[in-house]
Amino acid sequence: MHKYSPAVQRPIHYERGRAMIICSAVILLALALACSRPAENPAPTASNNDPDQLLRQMSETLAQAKKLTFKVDRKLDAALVEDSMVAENAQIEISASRPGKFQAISNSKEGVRRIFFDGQKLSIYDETMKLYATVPVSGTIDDAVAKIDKEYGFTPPLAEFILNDPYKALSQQIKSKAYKGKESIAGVECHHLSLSGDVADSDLWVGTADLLPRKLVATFKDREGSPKLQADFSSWNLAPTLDDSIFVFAAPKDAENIEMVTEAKMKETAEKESAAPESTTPQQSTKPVVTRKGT
Amino acid sequence: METTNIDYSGRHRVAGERSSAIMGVLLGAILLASASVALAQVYGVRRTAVVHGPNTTVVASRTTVVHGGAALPHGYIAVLPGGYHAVVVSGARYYTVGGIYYRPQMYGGRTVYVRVHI
Repeated sequence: MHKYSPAVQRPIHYERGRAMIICSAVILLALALACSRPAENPAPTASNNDPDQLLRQMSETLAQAKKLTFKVDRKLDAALVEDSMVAENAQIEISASRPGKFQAISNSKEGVRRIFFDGQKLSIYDETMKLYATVPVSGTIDDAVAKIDKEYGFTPPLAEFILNDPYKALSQQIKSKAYKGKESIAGVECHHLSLSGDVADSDLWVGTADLLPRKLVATFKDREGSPKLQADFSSWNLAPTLDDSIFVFAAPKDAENIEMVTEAKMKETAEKESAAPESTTPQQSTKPVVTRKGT
Repeated sequence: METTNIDYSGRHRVAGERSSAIMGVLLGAILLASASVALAQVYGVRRTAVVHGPNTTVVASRTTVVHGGAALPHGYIAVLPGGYHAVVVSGARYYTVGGIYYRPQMYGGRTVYVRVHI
């Protein structure tokens, strides 16, 4: 007598199919669970100094802050500054409200510049020259930074640190990471991470207690002399009281609206100028009126 | 039964190929989206720049310039020469120094000045 009756015997393909369905269900369940809750990362410890894990934790700390403000003291070697033979220092104050508002104020010997993004438009105000430009940009901070970068060829200073997904932007620039130990930066104990990328190699110091970036030194490898950018972060506040009105640019009465030139238009201009260096803009007949003297 | 099996597995294979193709397209779309989001700048320093040759202007794969500012084409300056005057022409502000007129524009996140003839 057969152990099993023919009625309960199944073809091999049937059993395989059933196994595949079960496996698929298990995988889908695991994926659903993974997506339904944020990853729980253990607090960094002496035995858990994985640089990628620390970078993720720093990014999550920043991303989880609905609103944040911080200051950056940025130093740039002269080779990184256009039309300049000297290094540049700038004090930058950044305020952000997730997901779609930020303001950055940069104060350097060039003057004071403010960048506003209110979720609908981005404005840059040259406070020193009283000139501003506004372009329509909607979406999140990440959307705005990506669009401005692509169309207008710039990003707000250190924008990687205010994106809604900082890890994504940072990891795209990093090819390898290493943990260099603990060091003190301005009296704060930090993890020292060494990050190597195609364009720049960076050293990043992240606070051991609060997992916030404290210092960044980026060395640009493809430039003669390997110039450096140094950013010292301070005054972190991950729960500031920010009125939405600070992200909306209101043009002062004496400020003039000027064009924000796209990367494509500038490239076209560059090509035309190369072909005909003496080309000019259309003649204008109105007699100029002197209104202000510069220095 | 065997015919049914072949038919069944065959459909499975076709479905699997379709799934692979769809997954491929989705993966490609995700990668493209990631690439488009990837910043062309590193901490505000551009990866590319306009480089002027004796007769040509090309975009070179090298880092230059900061706070977004790219290398400027011929006819543009980043800082006005000393002693400039602000003037208004047809309601628009220009700057002049030494008989040369400049029109301000915003480029690369900062004010630049393009030489114009008035």
